[in-house]
Amino acid sequence: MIELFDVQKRYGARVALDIPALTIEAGERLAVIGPNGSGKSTLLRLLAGMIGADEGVVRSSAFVRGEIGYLPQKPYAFDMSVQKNVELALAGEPNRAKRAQEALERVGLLHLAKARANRLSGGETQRMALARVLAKPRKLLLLDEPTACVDIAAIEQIERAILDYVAQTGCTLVFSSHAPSQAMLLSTRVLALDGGRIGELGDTAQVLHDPQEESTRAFLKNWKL
Amino acid sequence: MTKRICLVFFAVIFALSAVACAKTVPTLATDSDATPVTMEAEAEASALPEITAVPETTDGLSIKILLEQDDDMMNNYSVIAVNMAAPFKDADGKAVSGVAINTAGAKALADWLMSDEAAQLIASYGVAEYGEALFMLKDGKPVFTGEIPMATDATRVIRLSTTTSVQDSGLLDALLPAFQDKYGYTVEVSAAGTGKAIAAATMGNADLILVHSKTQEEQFVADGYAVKLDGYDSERLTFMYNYFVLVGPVSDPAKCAEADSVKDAFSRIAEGKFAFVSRGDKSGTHTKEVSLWPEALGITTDPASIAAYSDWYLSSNAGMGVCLTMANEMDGYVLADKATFLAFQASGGAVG
Amino acid sequence: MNGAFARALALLLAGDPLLTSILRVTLIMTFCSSMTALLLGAPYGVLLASARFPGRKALILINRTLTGLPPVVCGLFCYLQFSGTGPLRGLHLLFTVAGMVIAQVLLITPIIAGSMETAITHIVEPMRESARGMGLSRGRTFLLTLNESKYALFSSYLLGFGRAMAEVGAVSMVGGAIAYKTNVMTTAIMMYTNMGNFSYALALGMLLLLISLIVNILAHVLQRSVGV
Repeated sequence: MIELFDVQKRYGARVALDIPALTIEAGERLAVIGPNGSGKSTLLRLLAGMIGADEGVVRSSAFVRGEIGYLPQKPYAFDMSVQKNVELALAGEPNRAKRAQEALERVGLLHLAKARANRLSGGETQRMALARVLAKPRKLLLLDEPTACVDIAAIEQIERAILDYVAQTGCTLVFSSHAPSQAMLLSTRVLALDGGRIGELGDTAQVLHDPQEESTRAFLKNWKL
Repeated sequence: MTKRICLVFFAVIFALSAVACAKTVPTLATDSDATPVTMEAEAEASALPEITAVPETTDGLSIKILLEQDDDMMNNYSVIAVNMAAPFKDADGKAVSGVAINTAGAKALADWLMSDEAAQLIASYGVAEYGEALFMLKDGKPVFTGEIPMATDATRVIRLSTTTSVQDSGLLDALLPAFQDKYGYTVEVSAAGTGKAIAAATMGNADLILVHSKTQEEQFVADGYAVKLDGYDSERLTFMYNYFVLVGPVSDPAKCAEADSVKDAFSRIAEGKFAFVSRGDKSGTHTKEVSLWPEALGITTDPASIAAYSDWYLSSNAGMGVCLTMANEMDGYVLADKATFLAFQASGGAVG
Repeated sequence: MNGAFARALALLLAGDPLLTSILRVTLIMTFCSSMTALLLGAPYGVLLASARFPGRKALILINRTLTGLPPVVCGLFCYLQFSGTGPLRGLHLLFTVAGMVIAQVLLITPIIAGSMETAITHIVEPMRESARGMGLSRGRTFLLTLNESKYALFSSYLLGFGRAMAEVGAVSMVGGAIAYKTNVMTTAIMMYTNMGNFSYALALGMLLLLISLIVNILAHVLQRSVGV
């Protein structure tokens, strides 16, 4: 369970995030939507502990490093094979090779296990990074646009993988997405951000089908059910 | 692709160096080098027919020895042992104690240099290669006939500070191995301009100095940095000498070869404003050279004093070899130590 | 045209003791200097790029300034320290290879540190995000950073090696160019040039160039085979 109180994050004069109060329940699946620059990545980074808030408090029950899995928007491919990249996440644990391969299979990259990670395409890199995050059980999963670069053909597999993982581990999922349909599929609640502030927060079906706020409506304007 | 780049690179470097080498004057075999030197030593004032007949190609050099053996060009060499109780100061000028000086080693080397064994080596140095001795022993020099102790761990390393002229003559390479092999010492030779060689001793970086500048030596003694070794009358052990030579263009426009003395030759050069290359680095050679100009010109080792003569007097602030090259290229005059000139001549003067 | 190069090669093959000693001292000194500078400078450079602490920007600026330290100034400083009247005279470092190595390490470490910092500074953030995002500790992340900078390490080392071998200002002051002891290729070239023995000097110069070339080709081939 995560609580945010009076949280603000600024980059110079620009307010990137301004959230007076937000509670994320344990076990829920929260989608964060909004246009570019609305603070989605900033929020996820904050929750992951990558950056600190300038003001306010973030209280999170997933304290231990390793219990949080964070997938950045532009993941980094380490200079080794794809499988070794995933094994990094399992450092110090038994049965690394097998578990890494399982993770790769879930995201459909097992055929590239021995390939050099820095030769992958953007979509393949992102899938590999997801495999890294999903390689072991987490309490909190934070995914920043997890299918942004992935081929349309593979998106369904990825979404399935995420759902299966959440079902298996019972973790809390917070993810950002450009595609409202993805939010529809994967989330229980939706948070619509508008210029760093909370535009709208509510159950998925309600926010996406019947948005109350003007900003949310504008964002969803071109999306058809 | 990589291989091709490497090959091209290699080829370019090779081509550049080939061009550099090709631009040199070709060297002659060594036995023909000895002949012109002995002839010049014999016939001092007259222009030799062979040389005037082939002006540009004597050993490929356009300069030759015009004047030598003048008393004003005599160069006396002395060794001085460094005093371990000297008033050493650090870089800020504060007194320093506990400076390590190997006086025992210095004495061993000084004693050996004054011995007959060394005297013979000195007297014979250069004879085989150039047909004449490059250094002469001083009349009335100190002589050592006693026992020289073998090196011990504490006294093994002897730091000898000397001038570039001494090192460039090659004398030490001929002398020191005999000493080192016989007594087990290791002599570490550092060579620099006279000023720096003496300064090294005042900074505690030498046990013995071998220089050839009387005024600077006397200052060294007066400042308390020298020690009088047992069995000798003076701190300064002057034991050998040689001559500087006046080198100049084969055509000798200033007619120096016909001058009565080196000072006369110098005044001819100054009058005619012929190109002259000076060491300009306050070395022993430089100090000697400035003393030979007519007093009216006011030339000293101070760079300001030669500003008015920059159209013919070149202060190079470089070593002897470089000065000889400059003189060779511009057909100028230069005061050189004979050993370096002979080595320069033997290697055809420039690259190659 | 006989060629200074052929002469040098002939001397080398004949095992001319002076030439082989110059080569040996040069290689020993260069390897020691560049290795020490690498061991000191590389982690420092990586730290400068990855860690966030107050004064970091100032340290980077200071390091950049130190890369421009004139070798002869460094040599003078070391000479005064190691000199017979200097504060470190008890260490007996003047006129030794060890003293030369120290002077060179002072010169080269900032260069290697700066080279590493520049090379990896732009990958540090993305790498850190991914590594910490996976749940890796700070220590592991740092080790990963070092692993990712392998190639930067390579080229930085080469830079240091080249500088060490070509340097003459500091080593001539601290080493004194003593025959068979502290005379390296660069000081020998200076000495022979001053003596007028240009052919020997040129021979040494070409040898120096050849060694540089070989080292660089080797590095290039190694980089290619590892597959960047």
